Amino acid sequence: MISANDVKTMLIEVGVSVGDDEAKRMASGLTAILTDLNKLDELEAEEGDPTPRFTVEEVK
Amino acid sequence: MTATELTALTIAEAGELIRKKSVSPVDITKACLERIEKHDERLRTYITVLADSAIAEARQAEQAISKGDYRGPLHGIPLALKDTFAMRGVRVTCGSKLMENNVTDYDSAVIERLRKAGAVFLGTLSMHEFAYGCTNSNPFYGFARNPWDDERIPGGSSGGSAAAVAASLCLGSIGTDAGGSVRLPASLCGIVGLKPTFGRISRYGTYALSLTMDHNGPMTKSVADAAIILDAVAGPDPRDPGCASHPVSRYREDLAGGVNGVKVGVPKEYFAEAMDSQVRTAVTAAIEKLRSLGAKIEEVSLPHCSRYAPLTFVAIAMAEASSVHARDLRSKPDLYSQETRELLYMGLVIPSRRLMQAQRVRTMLANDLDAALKRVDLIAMPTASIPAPRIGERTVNLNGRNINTIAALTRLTSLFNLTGLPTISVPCGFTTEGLPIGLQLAGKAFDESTVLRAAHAYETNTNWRERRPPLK
Repeated sequence: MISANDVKTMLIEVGVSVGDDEAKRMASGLTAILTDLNKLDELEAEEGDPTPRFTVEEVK
Repeated sequence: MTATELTALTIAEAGELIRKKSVSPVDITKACLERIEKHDERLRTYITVLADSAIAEARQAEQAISKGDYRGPLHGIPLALKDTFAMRGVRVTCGSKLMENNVTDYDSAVIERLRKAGAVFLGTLSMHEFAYGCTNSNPFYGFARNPWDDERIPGGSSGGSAAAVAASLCLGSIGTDAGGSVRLPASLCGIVGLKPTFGRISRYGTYALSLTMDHNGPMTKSVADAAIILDAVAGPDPRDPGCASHPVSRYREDLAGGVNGVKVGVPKEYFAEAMDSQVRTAVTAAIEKLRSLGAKIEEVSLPHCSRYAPLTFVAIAMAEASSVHARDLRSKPDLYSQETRELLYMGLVIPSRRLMQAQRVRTMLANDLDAALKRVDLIAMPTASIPAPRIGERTVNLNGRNINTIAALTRLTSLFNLTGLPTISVPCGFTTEGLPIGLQLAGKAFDESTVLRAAHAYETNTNWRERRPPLK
Protein backbone atom coordinates (compact mmCIF):
# COMPACT_ATOMS: atom_id res chain seq x y z
CA MET A 1 0.00 0.00 0.00
CA ILE A 2 1.43 3.33 -1.07
CA SER A 3 0.83 6.20 1.36
CA ALA A 4 0.15 9.84 0.58
CA ASN A 5 3.62 10.64 1.93
CA ASP A 6 5.17 8.07 -0.44
CA VAL A 7 3.41 9.79 -3.33
CA LYS A 8 4.69 13.19 -2.25
CA THR A 9 8.23 11.86 -1.98
CA MET A 10 8.10 10.14 -5.37
CA LEU A 11 6.75 13.26 -7.04
CA ILE A 12 9.30 15.56 -5.39
CA GLU A 13 11.97 13.33 -6.92
CA VAL A 14 10.60 14.17 -10.38
CA GLY A 15 10.21 17.86 -9.62
CA VAL A 16 6.52 18.02 -8.69
CA SER A 17 5.03 19.18 -5.43
CA VAL A 18 1.43 18.28 -4.50
CA GLY A 19 -0.91 18.95 -1.56
CA ASP A 20 -2.23 16.44 0.97
CA ASP A 21 -5.62 15.82 -0.66
CA GLU A 22 -4.13 15.29 -4.08
CA ALA A 23 -1.45 12.96 -2.67
CA LYS A 24 -4.11 10.97 -0.83
CA ARG A 25 -6.22 10.46 -3.97
CA MET A 26 -3.20 9.47 -6.01
CA ALA A 27 -2.02 7.04 -3.32
CA SER A 28 -5.05 4.87 -3.82
CA GLY A 29 -4.86 5.17 -7.63
CA LEU A 30 -1.17 4.34 -7.74
CA THR A 31 -1.56 1.43 -5.35
CA ALA A 32 -4.18 -0.09 -7.65
CA ILE A 33 -2.10 0.49 -10.79
CA LEU A 34 1.19 -0.78 -9.37
CA THR A 35 -0.50 -3.81 -7.79
CA ASP A 36 -1.98 -4.65 -11.17
CA LEU A 37 1.42 -4.28 -12.81
CA ASN A 38 2.81 -6.91 -10.44
CA LYS A 39 1.02 -9.42 -12.69
CA LEU A 40 3.74 -8.76 -15.27
CA ASP A 41 6.16 -10.55 -12.93
CA GLU A 42 3.87 -13.59 -12.88
CA LEU A 43 3.79 -13.65 -16.66
CA GLU A 44 7.55 -13.40 -17.04
CA ALA A 45 7.99 -16.12 -14.44
CA GLU A 46 5.68 -18.38 -16.48
CA GLU A 47 6.78 -17.53 -20.00
CA GLY A 48 10.26 -16.11 -19.77
CA ASP A 49 11.45 -12.97 -21.48
CA PRO A 50 10.29 -12.76 -25.13
CA THR A 51 12.89 -10.17 -26.13
CA PRO A 52 15.25 -11.64 -28.76
CA ARG A 53 18.79 -12.04 -27.45
CA PHE A 54 21.95 -12.02 -29.50
CA THR A 55 25.16 -13.77 -28.71
CA VAL A 56 28.42 -11.91 -28.92
CA GLU A 57 29.23 -13.96 -32.02
CA GLU A 58 26.00 -12.91 -33.73
CA VAL A 59 26.61 -9.26 -32.95
CA LYS A 60 30.10 -9.50 -34.42
CA MET B 1 -34.69 17.46 -50.41
CA THR B 2 -35.47 18.77 -46.94
CA ALA B 3 -32.73 19.95 -44.59
CA THR B 4 -33.22 16.80 -42.50
CA GLU B 5 -32.88 14.60 -45.57
CA LEU B 6 -29.72 16.44 -46.64
CA THR B 7 -27.97 16.01 -43.30
CA ALA B 8 -29.02 12.34 -43.14
CA LEU B 9 -27.05 11.55 -46.31
CA THR B 10 -23.87 9.56 -46.15
CA ILE B 11 -20.73 11.04 -47.70
CA ALA B 12 -21.04 8.57 -50.59
CA GLU B 13 -24.66 9.54 -51.25
CA ALA B 14 -24.06 13.29 -50.91
CA GLY B 15 -20.90 13.08 -53.03
CA GLU B 16 -22.80 11.43 -55.85
CA LEU B 17 -25.60 14.02 -55.72
CA ILE B 18 -23.04 16.85 -55.68
CA ARG B 19 -21.18 15.32 -58.62
CA LYS B 20 -24.42 15.20 -60.60
CA LYS B 21 -25.14 18.77 -59.47
CA SER B 22 -28.47 17.57 -58.03
CA VAL B 23 -27.56 18.95 -54.63
CA SER B 24 -25.60 22.05 -53.67
CA PRO B 25 -22.71 21.89 -51.18
CA VAL B 26 -24.00 25.21 -49.84
CA ASP B 27 -27.42 23.72 -49.09
CA ILE B 28 -25.93 20.71 -47.28
CA THR B 29 -23.57 22.94 -45.30
CA LYS B 30 -26.38 25.30 -44.30
CA ALA B 31 -28.57 22.34 -43.32
CA CYS B 32 -25.79 21.05 -41.04
CA LEU B 33 -25.31 24.49 -39.49
CA GLU B 34 -29.07 24.78 -38.82
CA ARG B 35 -29.04 21.37 -37.21
CA ILE B 36 -26.07 22.31 -35.04
CA GLU B 37 -27.96 25.44 -33.97
CA LYS B 38 -31.01 23.35 -33.10
CA HIS B 39 -29.45 20.40 -31.29
CA ASP B 40 -25.97 21.24 -30.12
CA GLU B 41 -26.88 23.31 -27.12
CA ARG B 42 -28.00 20.01 -25.60
CA LEU B 43 -25.57 17.57 -27.25
CA ARG B 44 -22.46 19.79 -26.84
CA THR B 45 -20.57 18.12 -29.66
CA TYR B 46 -18.85 21.23 -31.06
CA ILE B 47 -16.14 23.31 -29.39
CA THR B 48 -15.89 25.79 -32.29
CA VAL B 49 -18.38 26.26 -35.13
CA LEU B 50 -16.91 27.83 -38.28
CA ALA B 51 -20.19 28.91 -39.90
CA ASP B 52 -18.91 31.74 -42.13
CA SER B 53 -15.82 30.01 -43.45
CA ALA B 54 -17.79 26.77 -43.97
CA ILE B 55 -20.34 28.54 -46.17
CA ALA B 56 -17.53 30.29 -48.05
CA GLU B 57 -15.76 26.94 -48.63
CA ALA B 58 -19.02 25.35 -49.76
CA ARG B 59 -19.56 28.23 -52.25
CA GLN B 60 -16.04 27.76 -53.60
CA ALA B 61 -16.71 24.04 -54.01
CA GLU B 62 -19.98 24.72 -55.79
CA GLN B 63 -18.36 27.16 -58.20
CA ALA B 64 -15.47 24.81 -58.93
CA ILE B 65 -17.81 21.90 -59.60
CA SER B 66 -20.04 24.02 -61.83
CA LYS B 67 -16.92 24.83 -63.91
CA GLY B 68 -16.14 21.12 -64.24
CA ASP B 69 -13.38 21.01 -61.63
CA TYR B 70 -14.79 18.10 -59.60
CA ARG B 71 -12.18 16.69 -57.21
CA GLY B 72 -13.90 13.54 -55.98
CA PRO B 73 -16.33 12.23 -53.38
CA LEU B 74 -15.30 14.65 -50.61
CA HIS B 75 -15.66 17.76 -52.75
CA GLY B 76 -18.18 20.05 -51.07
CA ILE B 77 -18.83 17.63 -48.20
CA PRO B 78 -19.21 19.28 -44.75
CA LEU B 79 -17.01 17.54 -42.20
CA ALA B 80 -15.98 18.42 -38.66
CA LEU B 81 -12.84 17.09 -36.97
CA LYS B 82 -11.91 16.41 -33.38
CA ASP B 83 -10.47 19.54 -31.76
CA THR B 84 -6.92 18.21 -31.91
CA PHE B 85 -5.82 18.74 -35.52
CA ALA B 86 -3.90 21.92 -36.30
CA MET B 87 -5.94 24.07 -38.67
CA ARG B 88 -4.54 27.32 -40.01
CA GLY B 89 -6.11 30.37 -38.35
CA VAL B 90 -8.47 28.32 -36.16
CA ARG B 91 -8.41 27.90 -32.39
CA VAL B 92 -7.57 24.26 -31.60
CA THR B 93 -7.78 23.50 -27.87
CA CYS B 94 -7.35 19.73 -27.59
CA GLY B 95 -10.28 20.00 -25.19
CA SER B 96 -8.07 21.79 -22.69
CA LYS B 97 -7.82 25.05 -20.82
CA LEU B 98 -4.07 25.00 -21.34
CA MET B 99 -4.58 25.48 -25.09
CA GLU B 100 -7.75 27.57 -24.96
CA ASN B 101 -6.13 30.38 -26.98
CA ASN B 102 -4.07 28.16 -29.27
CA VAL B 103 -4.47 29.38 -32.86
CA THR B 104 -2.24 27.47 -35.24
CA ASP B 105 -0.60 28.97 -38.32
CA TYR B 106 -0.44 25.75 -40.30
CA ASP B 107 -2.61 22.81 -41.32
CA SER B 108 -2.13 19.31 -39.96
CA ALA B 109 -1.59 16.60 -42.56
CA VAL B 110 -5.19 15.37 -42.40
CA ILE B 111 -6.64 18.88 -42.79
CA GLU B 112 -4.23 19.56 -45.65
CA ARG B 113 -5.28 16.39 -47.48
CA LEU B 114 -8.99 16.90 -46.85
CA ARG B 115 -8.71 20.49 -48.14
CA LYS B 116 -7.03 19.13 -51.27
CA ALA B 117 -9.98 16.75 -51.67
CA GLY B 118 -12.34 19.74 -51.46
CA ALA B 119 -13.93 19.10 -48.05
CA VAL B 120 -15.76 21.85 -46.15
CA PHE B 121 -14.95 22.34 -42.46
CA LEU B 122 -17.89 23.01 -40.15
CA GLY B 123 -15.85 23.32 -36.97
CA THR B 124 -13.95 21.41 -34.30
CA LEU B 125 -15.50 18.74 -32.11
CA SER B 126 -15.58 18.05 -28.40
CA MET B 127 -13.19 15.55 -26.83
CA HIS B 128 -11.91 14.32 -23.50
CA GLU B 129 -9.25 16.77 -22.23
CA PHE B 130 -6.04 16.05 -24.19
CA ALA B 131 -7.71 12.82 -25.41
CA TYR B 132 -6.76 11.31 -22.05
CA GLY B 133 -9.96 9.47 -21.12
CA CYS B 134 -12.87 7.58 -22.57
CA THR B 135 -15.96 9.31 -21.15
CA ASN B 136 -15.69 12.70 -22.88
CA SER B 137 -16.46 14.39 -19.56
CA ASN B 138 -14.85 17.75 -20.12
CA PRO B 139 -14.97 20.41 -17.39
CA PHE B 140 -13.95 23.21 -19.75
CA TYR B 141 -16.23 22.80 -22.77
CA GLY B 142 -19.11 20.73 -21.39
CA PHE B 143 -19.98 17.04 -21.53
CA ALA B 144 -20.87 15.81 -24.99
CA ARG B 145 -24.00 13.66 -24.81
CA ASN B 146 -25.00 10.48 -26.58
CA PRO B 147 -27.72 11.21 -29.19
CA TRP B 148 -29.39 7.83 -28.54
CA ASP B 149 -29.96 8.76 -24.89
CA ASP B 150 -28.70 12.16 -23.85
CA GLU B 151 -28.31 11.10 -20.23
CA ARG B 152 -25.53 8.77 -21.35
CA ILE B 153 -21.94 9.34 -22.42
CA PRO B 154 -20.94 9.17 -26.09
CA GLY B 155 -17.66 7.50 -25.09
CA GLY B 156 -14.31 9.07 -25.78
CA SER B 157 -11.98 10.51 -26.31
CA SER B 158 -13.44 11.37 -29.73
CA GLY B 159 -16.94 11.55 -28.24
CA GLY B 160 -17.91 14.81 -29.91
CA SER B 161 -17.05 13.32 -33.30
CA ALA B 162 -19.13 10.18 -32.71
CA ALA B 163 -22.12 12.08 -31.34
CA ALA B 164 -22.00 14.72 -34.11
CA VAL B 165 -21.88 12.09 -36.87
CA ALA B 166 -24.66 10.02 -35.24
CA ALA B 167 -26.85 13.11 -34.83
CA SER B 168 -26.11 14.25 -38.42
CA LEU B 169 -24.48 17.49 -37.27
CA CYS B 170 -21.78 16.82 -39.90
CA LEU B 171 -21.41 14.17 -42.58
CA GLY B 172 -18.22 12.67 -41.24
CA SER B 173 -15.27 13.21 -38.94
CA ILE B 174 -11.74 12.15 -38.08
CA GLY B 175 -10.83 11.28 -34.50
CA THR B 176 -7.73 10.01 -32.76
CA ASP B 177 -7.31 6.61 -31.13
CA ALA B 178 -4.54 5.78 -28.63
CA GLY B 179 -6.49 3.13 -26.71
CA GLY B 180 -9.87 2.94 -28.43
CA SER B 181 -10.83 6.60 -28.79
CA VAL B 182 -12.21 6.25 -32.33
CA ARG B 183 -13.77 2.78 -32.07
CA LEU B 184 -15.24 3.04 -28.59
CA PRO B 185 -17.33 6.20 -29.13
CA ALA B 186 -18.25 4.88 -32.59
CA SER B 187 -19.64 1.76 -30.92
CA LEU B 188 -21.50 3.66 -28.21
CA CYS B 189 -23.02 6.11 -30.72
CA GLY B 190 -23.90 3.59 -33.46
CA ILE B 191 -21.51 4.76 -36.19
CA VAL B 192 -18.46 3.35 -37.97
CA GLY B 193 -14.99 4.02 -36.53
CA LEU B 194 -11.81 2.90 -38.28
CA LYS B 195 -8.41 2.80 -36.62
CA PRO B 196 -6.04 2.03 -39.49
CA THR B 197 -2.62 0.43 -39.11
CA PHE B 198 -0.10 2.44 -37.06
CA GLY B 199 1.58 4.80 -39.49
CA ARG B 200 -1.08 4.60 -42.18
CA ILE B 201 -2.29 8.20 -41.65
CA SER B 202 0.18 10.97 -40.90
CA ARG B 203 -0.01 12.48 -37.42
CA TYR B 204 1.80 15.66 -38.46
CA GLY B 205 -0.07 18.46 -36.69
CA THR B 206 -2.09 16.09 -34.47
CA TYR B 207 -1.59 16.77 -30.76
CA ALA B 208 0.17 13.74 -29.27
CA LEU B 209 -1.00 11.59 -26.36
CA SER B 210 0.93 8.34 -26.75
CA LEU B 211 3.73 8.42 -29.29
CA THR B 212 3.77 4.69 -30.00
CA MET B 213 0.01 4.17 -29.93
CA ASP B 214 -1.59 7.30 -31.44
CA HIS B 215 -3.59 6.76 -34.62
CA ASN B 216 -5.90 9.05 -36.61
CA GLY B 217 -9.04 7.43 -37.97
CA PRO B 218 -12.27 8.18 -39.87
CA MET B 219 -15.61 8.26 -38.01
CA THR B 220 -18.55 7.98 -40.35
CA LYS B 221 -22.14 6.85 -40.92
CA SER B 222 -21.09 4.00 -43.19
CA VAL B 223 -18.11 1.79 -43.99
CA ALA B 224 -17.97 3.19 -47.53
CA ASP B 225 -17.61 6.68 -46.06
CA ALA B 226 -14.70 5.52 -43.89
CA ALA B 227 -13.04 4.15 -47.04
CA ILE B 228 -13.61 7.46 -48.85
CA ILE B 229 -11.92 9.42 -46.07
CA LEU B 230 -9.09 6.89 -45.82
CA ASP B 231 -8.52 7.21 -49.58
CA ALA B 232 -8.06 10.95 -49.08
CA VAL B 233 -5.80 10.99 -46.03
CA ALA B 234 -3.73 7.76 -46.06
CA GLY B 235 -0.15 7.65 -47.24
CA PRO B 236 3.44 8.53 -46.49
CA ASP B 237 4.45 11.84 -44.92
CA PRO B 238 8.10 12.52 -44.04
CA ARG B 239 6.98 15.12 -41.48
CA ASP B 240 5.70 12.32 -39.21
CA PRO B 241 8.56 9.94 -38.34
CA GLY B 242 5.96 7.30 -37.41
CA CYS B 243 4.21 7.48 -40.77
CA ALA B 244 4.70 4.38 -42.91
CA SER B 245 5.99 4.35 -46.46
CA HIS B 246 3.95 1.23 -47.18
CA PRO B 247 1.90 1.69 -50.38
CA VAL B 248 -1.76 2.63 -50.00
CA SER B 249 -4.61 0.86 -51.73
CA ARG B 250 -7.83 2.22 -53.25
CA TYR B 251 -9.97 1.45 -50.28
CA ARG B 252 -13.36 2.37 -51.70
CA GLU B 253 -12.77 0.22 -54.78
CA ASP B 254 -11.65 -2.64 -52.52
CA LEU B 255 -15.04 -2.73 -50.73
CA ALA B 256 -16.67 -4.95 -53.35
CA GLY B 257 -16.34 -8.69 -53.24
CA GLY B 258 -17.97 -9.71 -49.98
CA VAL B 259 -16.61 -12.08 -47.38
CA ASN B 260 -16.94 -15.40 -49.15
CA GLY B 261 -13.98 -17.50 -48.02
CA VAL B 262 -12.64 -14.89 -45.63
CA LYS B 263 -11.45 -16.59 -42.43
CA VAL B 264 -12.71 -14.91 -39.26
CA GLY B 265 -11.18 -15.88 -35.91
CA VAL B 266 -13.18 -15.67 -32.70
CA PRO B 267 -10.79 -15.36 -29.73
CA LYS B 268 -12.08 -17.74 -27.10
CA GLU B 269 -10.44 -15.97 -24.14
CA TYR B 270 -12.32 -12.73 -24.79
CA PHE B 271 -15.69 -14.43 -25.07
CA ALA B 272 -15.03 -16.33 -21.83
CA GLU B 273 -14.84 -13.06 -19.90
CA ALA B 274 -17.61 -10.95 -18.43
CA MET B 275 -19.58 -8.87 -20.90
CA ASP B 276 -23.08 -7.47 -21.07
CA SER B 277 -25.45 -10.24 -22.16
CA GLN B 278 -27.05 -8.12 -24.89
CA VAL B 279 -23.61 -7.24 -26.27
CA ARG B 280 -22.66 -10.92 -26.30
CA THR B 281 -25.90 -11.87 -28.09
CA ALA B 282 -25.57 -9.12 -30.72
CA VAL B 283 -21.91 -9.82 -31.48
CA THR B 284 -22.45 -13.58 -31.63
CA ALA B 285 -25.32 -12.99 -34.06
CA ALA B 286 -23.12 -10.67 -36.14
CA ILE B 287 -20.44 -13.37 -36.41
CA GLU B 288 -23.11 -15.84 -37.48
CA LYS B 289 -24.24 -13.32 -40.09
CA LEU B 290 -20.69 -13.19 -41.46
CA ARG B 291 -20.80 -17.01 -41.62
CA SER B 292 -24.07 -16.87 -43.56
CA LEU B 293 -22.39 -14.48 -46.01
CA GLY B 294 -19.68 -17.04 -46.72
CA ALA B 295 -17.01 -16.27 -44.12
CA LYS B 296 -15.30 -19.22 -42.45
CA ILE B 297 -15.56 -18.83 -38.71
CA GLU B 298 -13.11 -20.54 -36.40
CA GLU B 299 -12.10 -20.26 -32.79
CA VAL B 300 -8.63 -18.84 -32.15
CA SER B 301 -6.58 -18.41 -29.03
CA LEU B 302 -4.82 -15.24 -27.91
CA PRO B 303 -3.43 -16.73 -24.71
CA HIS B 304 -1.91 -13.62 -23.15
CA CYS B 305 -4.01 -10.85 -24.59
CA SER B 306 -7.20 -10.59 -22.55
CA ARG B 307 -5.34 -10.83 -19.23
CA TYR B 308 -2.27 -8.74 -19.99
CA ALA B 309 -3.15 -6.24 -22.73
CA PRO B 310 -5.07 -3.83 -20.47
CA LEU B 311 -2.33 -3.49 -17.87
CA THR B 312 0.44 -3.41 -20.46
CA PHE B 313 -1.49 -0.60 -22.12
CA VAL B 314 -1.86 1.28 -18.82
CA ALA B 315 1.90 1.20 -18.11
CA ILE B 316 2.90 2.38 -21.58
CA ALA B 317 0.09 4.89 -22.11
CA MET B 318 0.57 6.54 -18.71
CA ALA B 319 4.32 6.88 -19.15
CA GLU B 320 4.03 8.17 -22.72
CA ALA B 321 1.25 10.67 -21.91
CA SER B 322 3.19 12.02 -18.95
CA SER B 323 6.31 12.43 -21.05
CA VAL B 324 4.32 14.47 -23.61
CA HIS B 325 3.02 16.75 -20.84
CA ALA B 326 6.06 16.75 -18.54
CA ARG B 327 7.04 20.38 -19.10
CA ASP B 328 3.56 21.98 -18.93
CA LEU B 329 2.62 19.76 -16.02
CA ARG B 330 5.44 21.25 -13.96
CA SER B 331 5.08 24.85 -15.11
CA LYS B 332 1.29 25.23 -15.46
CA PRO B 333 -0.37 22.47 -13.39
CA ASP B 334 -3.44 24.59 -12.62
CA LEU B 335 -4.37 24.69 -16.30
CA TYR B 336 -5.17 20.96 -16.21
CA SER B 337 -8.35 19.50 -14.72
CA GLN B 338 -7.79 17.69 -11.44
CA GLU B 339 -8.54 14.29 -13.03
CA THR B 340 -6.10 14.72 -15.93
CA ARG B 341 -3.40 16.32 -13.77
CA GLU B 342 -3.44 13.46 -11.28
CA LEU B 343 -3.34 10.83 -14.02
CA LEU B 344 -0.38 12.60 -15.59
CA TYR B 345 1.41 12.91 -12.24
CA MET B 346 0.96 9.19 -11.66
CA GLY B 347 2.49 8.48 -15.07
CA LEU B 348 5.62 10.34 -14.02
CA VAL B 349 6.33 7.75 -11.35
CA ILE B 350 5.59 4.50 -13.20
CA PRO B 351 8.80 2.55 -12.48
CA SER B 352 11.06 2.19 -15.50
CA ARG B 353 11.35 -1.53 -14.72
CA ARG B 354 7.61 -1.87 -15.25
CA LEU B 355 7.72 0.13 -18.46
CA MET B 356 10.45 -2.08 -19.92
CA GLN B 357 8.59 -5.18 -18.78
CA ALA B 358 5.42 -3.88 -20.44
CA GLN B 359 7.30 -3.35 -23.69
CA ARG B 360 8.49 -6.96 -23.57
CA VAL B 361 4.95 -8.19 -22.91
CA ARG B 362 3.81 -6.04 -25.82
CA THR B 363 6.01 -8.23 -28.05
CA MET B 364 4.31 -11.29 -26.55
CA LEU B 365 0.87 -9.87 -27.39
CA ALA B 366 1.98 -9.10 -30.94
CA ASN B 367 3.26 -12.67 -31.26
CA ASP B 368 -0.14 -14.02 -30.13
CA LEU B 369 -1.88 -11.98 -32.80
CA ASP B 370 0.68 -12.89 -35.46
CA ALA B 371 0.11 -16.57 -34.76
CA ALA B 372 -3.68 -16.18 -34.93
CA LEU B 373 -3.52 -14.08 -38.09
CA LYS B 374 -1.46 -16.76 -39.82
CA ARG B 375 -4.56 -18.97 -39.54
CA VAL B 376 -7.29 -16.38 -40.13
CA ASP B 377 -7.73 -13.08 -42.00
CA LEU B 378 -9.65 -11.24 -39.31
CA ILE B 379 -10.31 -11.29 -35.57
CA ALA B 380 -13.90 -10.57 -34.45
CA MET B 381 -15.03 -9.47 -31.00
CA PRO B 382 -17.15 -6.73 -29.42
CA THR B 383 -15.79 -3.19 -29.48
CA ALA B 384 -16.94 -2.54 -25.91
CA SER B 385 -18.17 -5.07 -23.37
CA ILE B 386 -20.99 -2.72 -22.31
CA PRO B 387 -23.34 -0.28 -24.05
CA ALA B 388 -23.12 3.45 -23.24
CA PRO B 389 -23.14 4.05 -19.46
CA ARG B 390 -25.01 6.93 -17.83
CA ILE B 391 -23.08 10.18 -17.33
CA GLY B 392 -21.21 9.89 -14.04
CA GLU B 393 -21.76 6.11 -13.68
CA ARG B 394 -18.51 4.91 -12.08
CA THR B 395 -19.18 1.17 -11.93
CA VAL B 396 -21.26 -1.26 -13.96
CA ASN B 397 -22.59 -4.64 -12.94
CA LEU B 398 -21.47 -7.46 -15.20
CA ASN B 399 -22.58 -10.98 -14.36
CA GLY B 400 -23.05 -10.03 -10.71
CA ARG B 401 -19.70 -8.26 -10.34
CA ASN B 402 -19.24 -4.52 -10.04
CA ILE B 403 -16.60 -3.44 -12.53
CA ASN B 404 -15.02 -0.03 -13.02
CA THR B 405 -16.80 1.60 -15.97
CA ILE B 406 -13.62 2.82 -17.65
CA ALA B 407 -12.04 -0.64 -17.42
CA ALA B 408 -15.18 -2.21 -18.87
CA LEU B 409 -15.21 0.28 -21.73
CA THR B 410 -11.57 0.02 -22.80
CA ARG B 411 -10.78 -3.65 -22.15
CA LEU B 412 -11.26 -4.80 -25.74
CA THR B 413 -9.76 -2.00 -27.79
CA SER B 414 -6.28 -1.24 -26.44
CA LEU B 415 -4.78 -4.54 -27.69
CA PHE B 416 -4.90 -3.15 -31.22
CA ASN B 417 -3.15 0.07 -30.21
CA LEU B 418 -0.37 -1.93 -28.59
CA THR B 419 0.04 -3.96 -31.77
CA GLY B 420 -0.90 -1.28 -34.31
CA LEU B 421 -3.21 -3.54 -36.33
CA PRO B 422 -6.06 -2.10 -38.43
CA THR B 423 -9.39 -2.38 -36.63
CA ILE B 424 -12.93 -1.19 -37.29
CA SER B 425 -16.06 -0.85 -35.20
CA VAL B 426 -19.29 -1.32 -37.15
CA PRO B 427 -22.82 -1.17 -35.66
CA CYS B 428 -24.25 -4.65 -35.05
CA GLY B 429 -27.41 -4.11 -33.04
CA PHE B 430 -29.18 -2.32 -30.25
CA THR B 431 -30.05 -3.14 -26.67
CA THR B 432 -33.68 -3.27 -25.60
CA GLU B 433 -33.14 0.28 -24.30
CA GLY B 434 -32.19 1.39 -27.80
CA LEU B 435 -28.45 1.73 -27.22
CA PRO B 436 -26.07 0.82 -30.07
CA ILE B 437 -23.66 -2.13 -29.96
CA GLY B 438 -20.47 -2.41 -32.04
CA LEU B 439 -18.70 -5.34 -33.69
CA GLN B 440 -14.91 -4.99 -33.78
CA LEU B 441 -12.97 -6.52 -36.68
CA ALA B 442 -9.16 -6.47 -36.70
CA GLY B 443 -6.91 -7.48 -39.58
CA LYS B 444 -3.31 -7.92 -40.62
CA ALA B 445 -0.97 -4.92 -40.68
CA PHE B 446 -1.70 -2.64 -43.66
CA ASP B 447 -4.60 -4.82 -44.76
CA GLU B 448 -7.29 -2.21 -44.18
CA SER B 449 -8.94 -3.44 -47.38
CA THR B 450 -10.00 -6.79 -45.91
CA VAL B 451 -11.18 -5.14 -42.69
CA LEU B 452 -13.28 -2.63 -44.63
CA ARG B 453 -14.59 -5.21 -47.08
CA ALA B 454 -15.85 -7.52 -44.32
CA ALA B 455 -17.42 -4.64 -42.40
CA HIS B 456 -19.04 -3.35 -45.59
CA ALA B 457 -20.42 -6.80 -46.42
CA TYR B 458 -21.88 -7.07 -42.93
CA GLU B 459 -23.29 -3.54 -42.95
CA THR B 460 -24.94 -3.82 -46.35
CA ASN B 461 -26.58 -7.12 -45.43
CA THR B 462 -28.12 -5.79 -42.22
CA ASN B 463 -30.29 -2.76 -41.57
CA TRP B 464 -28.79 -1.27 -38.41
CA ARG B 465 -27.60 1.81 -40.26
CA GLU B 466 -31.18 2.77 -41.13
CA ARG B 467 -31.97 3.64 -37.51
CA ARG B 468 -31.65 7.26 -36.43
CA PRO B 469 -31.22 8.64 -32.91
CA PRO B 470 -34.46 9.98 -31.41
CA LEU B 471 -33.41 13.62 -31.07
CA LYS B 472 -35.83 15.84 -29.17
